[in-house]
Order: sequence, then C-alpha cells, then structure tokens
Amino acid sequence: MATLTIQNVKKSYGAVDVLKGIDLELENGEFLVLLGPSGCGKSTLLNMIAGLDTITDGEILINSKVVNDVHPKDRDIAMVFQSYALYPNMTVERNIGFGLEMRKVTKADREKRVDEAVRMLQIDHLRDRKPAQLSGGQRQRVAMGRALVRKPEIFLFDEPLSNLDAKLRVEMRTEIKKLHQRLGTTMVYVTHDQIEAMTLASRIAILREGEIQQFASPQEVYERPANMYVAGFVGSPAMNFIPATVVSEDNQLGVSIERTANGERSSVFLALPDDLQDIGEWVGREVILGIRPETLTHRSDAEMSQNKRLQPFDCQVEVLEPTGADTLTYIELGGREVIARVNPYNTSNPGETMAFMVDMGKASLFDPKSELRI
Amino acid sequence: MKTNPMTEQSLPAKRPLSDWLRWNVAKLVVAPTFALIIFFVYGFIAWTGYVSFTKSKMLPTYSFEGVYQYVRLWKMSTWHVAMENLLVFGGLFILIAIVLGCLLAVALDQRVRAEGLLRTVYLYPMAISFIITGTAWKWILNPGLGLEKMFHSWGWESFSFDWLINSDMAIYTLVIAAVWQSSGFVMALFLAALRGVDSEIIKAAYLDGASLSRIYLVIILPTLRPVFLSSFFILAHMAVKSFDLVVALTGGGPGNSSIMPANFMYEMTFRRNQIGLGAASAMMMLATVMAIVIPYLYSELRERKHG
Repeated sequence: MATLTIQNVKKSYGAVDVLKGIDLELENGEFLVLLGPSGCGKSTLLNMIAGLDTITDGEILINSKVVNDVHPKDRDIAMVFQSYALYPNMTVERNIGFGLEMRKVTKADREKRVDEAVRMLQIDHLRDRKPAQLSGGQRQRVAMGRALVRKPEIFLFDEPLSNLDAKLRVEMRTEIKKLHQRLGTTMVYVTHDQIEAMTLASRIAILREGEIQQFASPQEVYERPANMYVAGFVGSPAMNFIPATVVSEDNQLGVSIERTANGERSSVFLALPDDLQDIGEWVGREVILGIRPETLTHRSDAEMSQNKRLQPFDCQVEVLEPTGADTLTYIELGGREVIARVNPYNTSNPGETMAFMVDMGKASLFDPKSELRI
Repeated sequence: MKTNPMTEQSLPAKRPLSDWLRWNVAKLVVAPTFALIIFFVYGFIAWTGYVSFTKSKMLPTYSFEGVYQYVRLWKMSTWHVAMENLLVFGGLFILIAIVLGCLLAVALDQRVRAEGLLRTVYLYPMAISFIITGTAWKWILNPGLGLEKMFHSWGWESFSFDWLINSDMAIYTLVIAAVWQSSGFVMALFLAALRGVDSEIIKAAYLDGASLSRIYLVIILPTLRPVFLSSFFILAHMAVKSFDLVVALTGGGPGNSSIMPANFMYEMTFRRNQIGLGAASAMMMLATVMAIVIPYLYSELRERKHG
C-alpha cells in the first residue's frame, strides 16, 4: 500500500507538449482512473509512473519519496498491459513467477506465491499451458496474476479490458473491482471507457490534451462536471446542452428556453433552484443549460408537489427510441436535439405535444464562452 | 415432357469460349513454366539419377550397371576431402553467420542512429554474386597483394596471414568470404522478427526486473525459433550448393585441399569425361539437400495444419 503524488509533471517530445503540468494526489488504497480520449496523454502519464518513460519536468513521489530516477524494477509497482504482454515461450506458471525469479525469491517461496495467485484468479488448471493456448480472458487473468504475485505497492493498469469482448469486459471489470476490495492496494487505471471509470474509480482524473479537466469522485464528476467537456464525456446518453437565457420572473431567477408546443413556437421559463439564485450578474445573458437525460422525464403531478425543484414544460416529441427499460424521447429545445428518458408507458407519439418535467436541482449551467461551470 | 430450352441448353452454350477462358486463364498462364520445370528440373534430375547407375564416360551410355559408380566414388580420397570440407565449411559458415547476424540485429534493434544506412551497408554484400565476393577476397587474402602486404608496408614485418595458400587453412578462407556475404542477410531476417516482438512484452520484462541481456536471452530470442530455422535452412542449402565461391577464391586448391562436392562434380563430369561418376556425386549432393529440406518441409506443413 502506498500514496502516490504527482507534482506539476510535464512531458514533451521535442516541441510537442504531451502533458502540460499534471498535479494528482492519491491516498493509500485509492483507485484512480485516468480517463480521456486516445492521445490525451493518459498512457504516457502511466508509463511515467511506471518508470518506462522519462519525466521532462516535475516530480513523481511514491510514499513521499521522489522516484524520478529510480529504476522501474525498484519502484515496487506492477503493471497490466493492454496486449497482456505475456512471455510467449513460457508456461503460465513461469510467466507469473518470472518477476519473482528475477528478484531471486527462493523456489519454494515462489511456488507458494504463484499457487496463491493462480487459485485466487481461478486459473490453476491452466498453469502448464503456453499463452498461445489461452483465450483472451484467460490471458488477462494470467497478466493480472503476474502483477498480483509480486505484492506491489501500486498496481498500474493500461487499458486492460479493451481487447476483450463486451461480455467478458463486464466480468473482468467486476473481477478487478473485487481484487481492489480484497487487496486494498493503491491502483492506477487508464481507460477511455467512461463506464469503466465510473464503476471502478474512487477518484477519476479526466485528461484532455495533456491537461486535467477535473479530478474528483465519480459521483461528483457526474453530478457537478467542471466544464462542458467533462459533462459531455461522462454519461451515456450524453448530457443535453441547451442554449438558454437567464431571466428574472416574480423575483426568481430562471432560464428561458425556446421550444415548440401545440404547433407554436414559444419560450418557457424554468426556475433555478435556491443554490443557483446568486447569479444575478448573468441576467439577460446567454448560458448553456446542461441536463442529464434521466432528470428529464414525463410529468407527474404527485412528484411535482413534493419536490419544488421539478419544473414543468410542454414540448413536441420528435423521435422515440425504445431501449426496453426506458424510451429515449427526442425533443427540440433551444434549437438543439435533446434526449429525455421516459417510462415506456408514458410516451406520446412523434408529432404530439407531451408534458415533461425537469429536475433543475441536478442541472448544470455553463458559460458558453469558457465552457466552464457557473 | 416440356422443358425450358432456354435454361437447359442455351445458357452454357451462350459464350462457351470466354467462360472457359475465365475459369482456366490461371492454369493457362502457369502451364508453360510448369512444363518447363517438369522437363528441365525434375526431368534432368531423373536423367542424372539414371546415368549415375551406368558406366558413362565422355558420352552417356544407358546400360544399367548398378551401384558401380557409387562404390567407385566413395573409394576416392578426393571425394572424402570434398565431403569433409563441406562438413567443416557448412558447419562453421552456418554457425558464424547466424551468431553474427543475430548479434548485429540485436545491436541494430537498440534504435541506433543511422540505422537505415547501417542496415544497407550490412545487407549489401548479399547483392553481389559469389564470383565477385570470391575474387575480391582472393585479392584481400593474397599474401603478395592484400592484408599481409599492407601490414608489411606499414612496418609490421612479422605479420603473416597466408591461409589462402596454406592447404590446412584454405577452407577457412571460404568460410570468411561466405560469412561476409551472408551474415547481413541473416541480420535482416532477425531484425524484421525482432521488430515484430510486442514492445509491451519488453516493458513487462523490464518491470519484472530482467536485465537487457536477460530479456533477449530468455524472452525474445526463444520466440524467434522460426527465424533460426529459416536462416539455418537457407544457409545450409547455400553451403551444399557452393561452387562459384570456391572457383573464384581458391580454385579448390592448394591441391585439392579446399575442393567442395559441387566442384568435384563439375571436374568429373565436364573435365575428366567421367559423366557416370559426376552423376553419382551429384546424386549424393541431392541426397544431402534432401536430408535437410524434407524435415523442414515436414515440420512447416505440420505446423500449418495445427496452427
């Protein structure tokens, strides 16, 4: 177990800045997910923590000790690679034990620890096979076994599930989560899959073009995204962005949105919740209203009377996409296509006007210029 | 019975020639070369095989005489010298070329600067024919012209390198020239295979604490087994066939000390009017090549079936 501190770390290849000053701080036993699209520098950062890549500027500390110039093998870390990186000429058993072999662990001790690892990962029947004789999921387990057996201070995962099919990916995801719960070791996990990030992380760092956009818990990232990029990247279907104007009505601040209802174009006023009433300087100005599809649904008067934050409006339905549990209902608000998650039994047909309500307590407002959260 | 004449008859007869051509054009294109190979390669192998069982001298005769020529061949000391030379030359040539090629490839794999240039420099000898290689090395190794003369003129009077004219050492000059020519090719084979190794495997081994030499010895080179095999078979058949290098470099001499089976065969067949004996030696060379190639083909085909 260990703490990991990354202080103003930069990386450039020639004139290209891949990482532009990263600051992260991990507690003991935390599960950090580095999330971002390909080319955002997340794998480079992981390689730098592992010591496989040099650091242009800044410091990386493991257990408050600077490791910038420590050889990878002495950093007490283990890494699981995207391609699994198993040694093709060695059996599963030797693959897992190789790191211990190199560290001069006695044969008896080595066998005991390999034994523990293969049993924990349920691959003890495969120990004499070569990697070529294993399926993708089995290789993944061997790769994890190889990291596990070393009992490192920090585990690093470099997109470990991206080569698996969808079903296996979900299974292995749970497996990794269980592993983290059982071992309690600090883990750093790189992925471009926001669902993996949400399910696994204790904290997520979202990277874009070498800069951290937000570093927070999954729930915080989901509910209070720091900017429009994070809001759009996390969540599926993505958050709706609706152009709106801040207006004051009956001494209450709210947003005014253009929409079509009953065949007529008109504006609707949606009151902002109490914690967003202090943005008086925005009155009369354009903002972007961010609404998650599940907070926008069919109107229920019973719920509305209980929760003052639920705001009603009518709107014409454009397209319906049933998914089974919910029906994704496409409507048009402020000139943008917007998705609402509606119970399949409460939908209206396309072309008809339907009664909606939106939970303004879970809405986010963004500055259209800087794209930052207001 | 009423049948539809359109579907029964006219469709296949509609454009018979162009259809037939379309289906058979590949076979037609291959046929001439196939016939030529059957006749000039396999036909003449069969003919040589038959002649080796006759008492043909200057002109071939066709009365069957059994293994007479083979008995005669194996009683000749020159043939024994040629076979021993093949063993020494082949063994050393294959071993050194593979080891050297492999080391060069590993060295170049470290992403050295000007790698493209170095690769070309090492590979270039392969583009030269053995005759040129032989002639060039004959000059280099000639005591009166080459290395020895150079060192003498630089003042190192006691320097002596006379392998070319030393009947015990002449065979090793062939090894030097052949290794010079072929190790770059082996290097190219190994370099291509090394570049195919997943870089994450090397990173993983690095994290596992293996040193660079360990990584190569224990992890990377064992995965290159197919390349070792291919280079072995390519070099082995080059060794058995080697004829021009000997002619150009040593001429089989001094005496017959560096003669190789192919030179023996040429000497007997075309110079000493012993076609039967030459044919028998040619068949022995064929048998040697077969002994190498058949296990290779067998293992290759078997692997493909399994893999």
